Amino acid sequence: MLIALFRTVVLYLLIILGIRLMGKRQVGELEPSELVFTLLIADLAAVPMQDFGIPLTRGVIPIVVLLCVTLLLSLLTMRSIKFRAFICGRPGIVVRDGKVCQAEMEKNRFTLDELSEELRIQGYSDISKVKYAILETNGQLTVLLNAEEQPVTAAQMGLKPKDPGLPALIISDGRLLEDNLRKRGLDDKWLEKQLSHHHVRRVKDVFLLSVDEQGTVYFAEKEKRR
Amino acid sequence: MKKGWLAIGLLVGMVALSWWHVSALNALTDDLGGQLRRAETLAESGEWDKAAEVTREASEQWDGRAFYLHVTLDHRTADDIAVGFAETLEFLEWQEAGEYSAANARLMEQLELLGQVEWPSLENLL
Repeated sequence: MLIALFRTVVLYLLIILGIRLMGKRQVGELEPSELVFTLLIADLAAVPMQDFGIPLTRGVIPIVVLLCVTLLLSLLTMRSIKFRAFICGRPGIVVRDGKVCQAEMEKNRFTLDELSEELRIQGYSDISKVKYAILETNGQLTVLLNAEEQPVTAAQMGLKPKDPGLPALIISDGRLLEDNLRKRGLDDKWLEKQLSHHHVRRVKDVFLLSVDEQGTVYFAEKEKRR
Repeated sequence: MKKGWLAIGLLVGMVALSWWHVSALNALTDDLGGQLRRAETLAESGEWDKAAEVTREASEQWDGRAFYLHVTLDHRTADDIAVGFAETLEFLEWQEAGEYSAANARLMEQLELLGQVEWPSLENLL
């Protein structure tokens, strides 16, 4: 039992390290090599986890090798456009100026049903209003509408709304993030003022306190436990 | 690019270690196989005690690498060979010629196969 426990923890941590080293992308955005890595790694770890007759190295070595190869392929993909096109493919335009590009659909084995479904999911029912629909290398469909169909922006209306900027988290679940407080140009006096304004005595009683670049504060007190 | 060099370094390191492991394992199995053949010759000429001594040395050589062998090989394979040595030594102690010969032949074959199975030959790769 102890062996199972130890092996499980070791392999689990190794998988987390591997996934972490692959970067901040979701499964749908992974390159083919990274997707293969994700699919294989679980099986590779499971075998020595369950069969104690197999040495742990038989799980660790393939995982590390796969990780190294995936990393190298990712780096090559970043550096070489041709290699990237070979591994990931190229995006294809499946709708242009309101017309379906049938040849491109056939080349990508992308059916009309799938196109209609993707358009509906994104809220577009009329293909004639679509300027471009691009099938990306990760399988997602990007839709760009004709200019006259796009929502009006503040700039087009001649308006200049204030930009709130990025809110900085000052207190997170009762913990004060001093770095963020200083970076926002604020101090302890400002913090005390905020706490007293919201009738709270301690930082520990605050669930969330954030402030954006315009000085707008979002405050949430911790719920009292019964 | 640092991660790239680290990945290349790790891969090269693992290839080098794997190559060393295969070479070391082959050397060990060849050596033990040689000792067992010598023991068989001694047993055939009636020198049972000397045959037992040679086999015992081979067994101790195997046991001395038990940790390394269990980390790198299938545990069942390593255990089967350890059992094979114990079995062979018992037959030598009792001077059972037929059983000893069969057990020794099985043990030598297991060691030879062990050396071959880790070798990167086309047969093993496919």
